[in-house]
Amino acid sequence: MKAVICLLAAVILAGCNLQEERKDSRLALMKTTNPEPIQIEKDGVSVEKIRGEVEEVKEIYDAAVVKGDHNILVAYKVRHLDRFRMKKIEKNLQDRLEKEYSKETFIVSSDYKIFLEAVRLREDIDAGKVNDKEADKRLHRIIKLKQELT
Amino acid sequence: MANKNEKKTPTQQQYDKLNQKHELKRPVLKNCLRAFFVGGLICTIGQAITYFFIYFFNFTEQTAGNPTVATMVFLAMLLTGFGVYDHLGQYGGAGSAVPVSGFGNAVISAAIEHRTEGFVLGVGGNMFKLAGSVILFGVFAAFVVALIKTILIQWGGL
Amino acid sequence: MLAMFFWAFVIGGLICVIGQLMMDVGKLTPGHTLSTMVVVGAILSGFGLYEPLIDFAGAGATIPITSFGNSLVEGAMQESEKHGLVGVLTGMFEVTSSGISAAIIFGFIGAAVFKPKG
Repeated sequence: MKAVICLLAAVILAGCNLQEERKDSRLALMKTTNPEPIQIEKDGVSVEKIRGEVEEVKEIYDAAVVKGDHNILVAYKVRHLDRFRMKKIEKNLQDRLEKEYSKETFIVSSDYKIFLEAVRLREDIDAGKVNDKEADKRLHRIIKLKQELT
Repeated sequence: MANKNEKKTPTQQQYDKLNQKHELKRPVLKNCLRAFFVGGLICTIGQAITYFFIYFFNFTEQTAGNPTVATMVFLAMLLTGFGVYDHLGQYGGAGSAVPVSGFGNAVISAAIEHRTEGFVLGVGGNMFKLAGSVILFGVFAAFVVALIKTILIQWGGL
Repeated sequence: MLAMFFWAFVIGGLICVIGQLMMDVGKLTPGHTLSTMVVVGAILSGFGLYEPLIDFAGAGATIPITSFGNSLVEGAMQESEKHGLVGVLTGMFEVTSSGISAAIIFGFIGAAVFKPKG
């Protein structure tokens, strides 16, 4: 019994110390972070505008926008009691954005992981750890993550 | 029960009724509360594991379910092996049986129990003794449901 | 995220209470209860009701055994979209495999490591 508890405690502690991250991304899932949108590709519509558009949807309270070469990633959090209708919200948002900016391709996701990765990317860019090319690569990896099914 | 009651005096019957009412009512409420807390706790632990996988590994909310289930079964193995899960089962009732860890416990305890009969006939043969019905009915129900749904989608234009 | 923990606790707990009621009031054995819950999960999944519950309650819906029925149907449906009726048969364990394979592997390891009691 004691051995099990000790083992569990060790695992949890190890997990906590695994990565010393900056505060924002560590708490990204717990509170509203409102990360600055990222504009890797400078042409086309501004990410600020898209974020404004996304935040107009009343079920959404936190949005991260990343604009890359070909795609625009939109990650957001849904108010908890509206999570029952999450699939519908996702579809509506996708339709709305695609209608508004018909030239762009949108990747829309409510997944926490996608949001978290977008915040982490934002922080790494701020810290000067990644340049535009690497950032675009990171974006592609996030999009791939989103397209995995099961 | 009905036959027994007829032979008793009215007072005895009344007492029986009273007795029955009290005996049945109390454990149900208590058991439900316990099941609620134990089950809720197990699910909360599961949620924590899910977030652990999201934070430190490349899993999304969608894909984190599988490693979470595997981890829960692994924990169930440890708890079963050290004999903790039995106590948890006695206390929590359905609260410890309904989560996947209960499924894991059923498989693992059967495997450990029949180990003395050898690995092939004992462990292999008895592993799914308890959990087999869950798999059977789950698979068959899923087959029927998916079949009906597919037919409706393909020919009914659902 | 904190709301997620709260709802995981509540929904997970409630599903377990339903199981307890089936055992106590319905006088079913644990085996019958679990089998029924899996079937109910499969049926809810067929109506598309289980997925929103997972979105809402996270592990509160994926950890109880009802999600086993759901993921069986889910796997079958995913595969049937690609291959039609045959997919219903072949896709069944596509999503669920982790729970059962984990149970088999850890069950075997457990049997090898731990000694039976009593």
